[in-house]
Amino acid sequence: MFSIFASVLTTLQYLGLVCFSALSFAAKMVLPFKFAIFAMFIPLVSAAPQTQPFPNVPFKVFSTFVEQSFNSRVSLATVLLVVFSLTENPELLTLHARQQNPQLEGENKVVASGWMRALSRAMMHQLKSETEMLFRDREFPKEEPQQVVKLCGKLDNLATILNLTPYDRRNNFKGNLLPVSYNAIQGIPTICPNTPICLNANCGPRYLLQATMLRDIPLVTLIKEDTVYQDVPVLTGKCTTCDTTYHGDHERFRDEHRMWSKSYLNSARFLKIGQSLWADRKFSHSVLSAIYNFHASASAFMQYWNDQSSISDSNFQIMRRQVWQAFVQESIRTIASAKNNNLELKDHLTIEEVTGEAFSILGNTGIIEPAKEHSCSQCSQPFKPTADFMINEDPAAVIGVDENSAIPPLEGEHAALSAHQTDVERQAARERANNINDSKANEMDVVYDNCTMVVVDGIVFGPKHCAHDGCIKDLKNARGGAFCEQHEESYGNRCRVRDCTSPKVANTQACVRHQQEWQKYKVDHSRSSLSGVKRMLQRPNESNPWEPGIRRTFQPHDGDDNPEIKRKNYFGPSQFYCVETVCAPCGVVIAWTKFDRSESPTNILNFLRRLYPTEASRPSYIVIDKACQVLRTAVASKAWEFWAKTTRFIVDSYHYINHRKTDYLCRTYCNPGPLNGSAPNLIKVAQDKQGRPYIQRAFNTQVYIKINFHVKRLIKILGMRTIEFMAWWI
Amino acid sequence: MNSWLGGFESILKRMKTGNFDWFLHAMLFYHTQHVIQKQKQKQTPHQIDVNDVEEEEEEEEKDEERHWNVEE
Repeated sequence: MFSIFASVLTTLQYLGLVCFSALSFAAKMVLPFKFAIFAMFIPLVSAAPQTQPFPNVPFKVFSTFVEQSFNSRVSLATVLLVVFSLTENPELLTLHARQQNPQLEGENKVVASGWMRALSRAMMHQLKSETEMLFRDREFPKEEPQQVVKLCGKLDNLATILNLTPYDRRNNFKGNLLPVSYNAIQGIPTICPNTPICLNANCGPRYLLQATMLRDIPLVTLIKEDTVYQDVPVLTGKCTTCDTTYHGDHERFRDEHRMWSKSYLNSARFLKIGQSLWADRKFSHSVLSAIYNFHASASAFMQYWNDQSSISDSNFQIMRRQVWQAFVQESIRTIASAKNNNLELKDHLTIEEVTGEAFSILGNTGIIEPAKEHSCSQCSQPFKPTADFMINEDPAAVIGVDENSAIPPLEGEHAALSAHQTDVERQAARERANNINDSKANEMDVVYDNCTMVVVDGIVFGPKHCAHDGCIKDLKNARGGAFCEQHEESYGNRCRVRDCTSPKVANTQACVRHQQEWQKYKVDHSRSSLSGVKRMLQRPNESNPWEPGIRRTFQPHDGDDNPEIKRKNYFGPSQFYCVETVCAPCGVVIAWTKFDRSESPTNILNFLRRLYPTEASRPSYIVIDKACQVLRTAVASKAWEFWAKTTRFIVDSYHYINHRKTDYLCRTYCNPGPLNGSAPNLIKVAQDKQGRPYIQRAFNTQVYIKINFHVKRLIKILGMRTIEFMAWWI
Repeated sequence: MNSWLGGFESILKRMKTGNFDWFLHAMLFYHTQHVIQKQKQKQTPHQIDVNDVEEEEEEEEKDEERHWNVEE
């Protein structure tokens, strides 16, 4: 009696169907039984779920059943679907079997239980017209309920033949059916070249020979469809004419200089990500996707994968460097596929050399290829020669803020000039307003290109590089080194304090005279200073006498020029200052670059000039969080001549609202959405769901420019002469 | 954009220039492909505003419940 209850309750526990009625029923039982039953509800920590082996009946028995039960024209796929539908549902078969074996008063034996009828219906739903193949000729009932019942009988018989029943021949309950393990029927994968013939342009389409001797064929681990396969043979093909070898993920061939090169195949099905580890593209893509979507590091992905694989049967664990290799290999294929070219590099490169070479070939100096051809309604609008709205006559009124408000006048220098210009602009705005409904005035004789916009923004982070003045090469030793290989050699044993020629003391980076500086540097860069509660308590730019804090040299963020910061010592490496991105308003990234010393307007102008060399390629508007500074520098350095004909620099609304009160240039030339119709392409009239017109930005500027905490409002007011010059130009 | 890019800072700050360049380029490239692909899927590109986002969220909640077409 107890065993029946126990098994039923175990079933309920397994299925997660434990309900209040079961608990209240158990509560009526005697104490020892109660304890035993409740003990079964205690959640158990289980790693891998227990499984039962795949049904191992003789094939002849199975074959006879298929011949006698199904149509002679039934396909292999349909038969396998039926078998796997049974092996996939051990819980359902247990429930069905229990209903077929009544134990208690009031229970009746049901041949076609509700459980099995549900499975039959699911199968018929999937097979559709193919369902008929599960019945012999003239056996297929016309009515659907009869079809279901008939199919139930066949499934029940097949389950019995496959031994997928929790009862033995004497109707004794053996225990719940466990999930079926498919290990015994796993196919044996091999890793082979994915071309049957030689593809070398200088060779014929010859067949490929299996080139590796049997005793040398490597047996590797393969991660495929989240399953780990051990001892998978890796086979290599070879063309006997040109000696090109074909591998699972690459080809090795002689280039025009007779040097061995390697072609990274975009069509590879498996990628080599370790010395004896391969993975399918699903795995490598999941690495790329996790890094992109979750900002996961290689270590984080390794921990995630090893943690989730621990609940499966496999004891295999991946390593961080294999995840990084998967990322590099997959990203190479992703970018090379967009160019319809396989990446070709020298053979025998380290993974670090591969990334460097890949960037120099596929990186396109930071210009993102797919963005070049991109155009959408969010980043390209039809050109409007005149405004079709008039909301506020003031030239400094900006959309979204000043629809119904007065605009504060410019304060400080150039206030009088600004007031005069405002009056002139107001008059011009009134004239424009009179012509809004004049169709003749709005007609265009010339067809203009669409109006486009890009958003330029920077973020302060960058990689470390050689500390020597003007050198941006990679560090020889990334863990604690300060110089590249060349400068490490040229400094040799010299003290790392600037202009000191004395030899350094052993195990330090300074001479005897500069030991104090070295010790201070060590304390400032120790773990106790750089991490933990001390750093949390110390506010940025705060320098109290009791804090050991690092006394860094002032980093000019917005300066006009590119200042050379003289370092006092070379104990640690230098660092690139920031990464600058150019985005379309829809979020497409057009290009990126690194700035070594500061996000200066000069750097930004040079970057933009490199990005848009021709007039046709230039956008109509460039939004920069410090466009007024860039404009000022452009005019002062005559770089404005390059942009004047095609492009305007504007700021984002947040910047404009704050800066228009104090900066003449920003107020006059950088309005991101003037409501007086002076820049009709920045604002468009749309209609809401009720058909009422309302104005909105033609381009989305604020989504991508976040508040930049590094923008300093240090405005260098230029002389009157320059502003007049600028006004003339614009 | 900046906040998304800033999420990679902890990964990027330990990298050497070669890896940094490739990693950042790959991420921005993938991002661009992702955005373009999403635009293609949408078919009807339009200006993003708050009302649209709310409508999308409401649509997501309406997950159609399906059943077998059976009369019992």
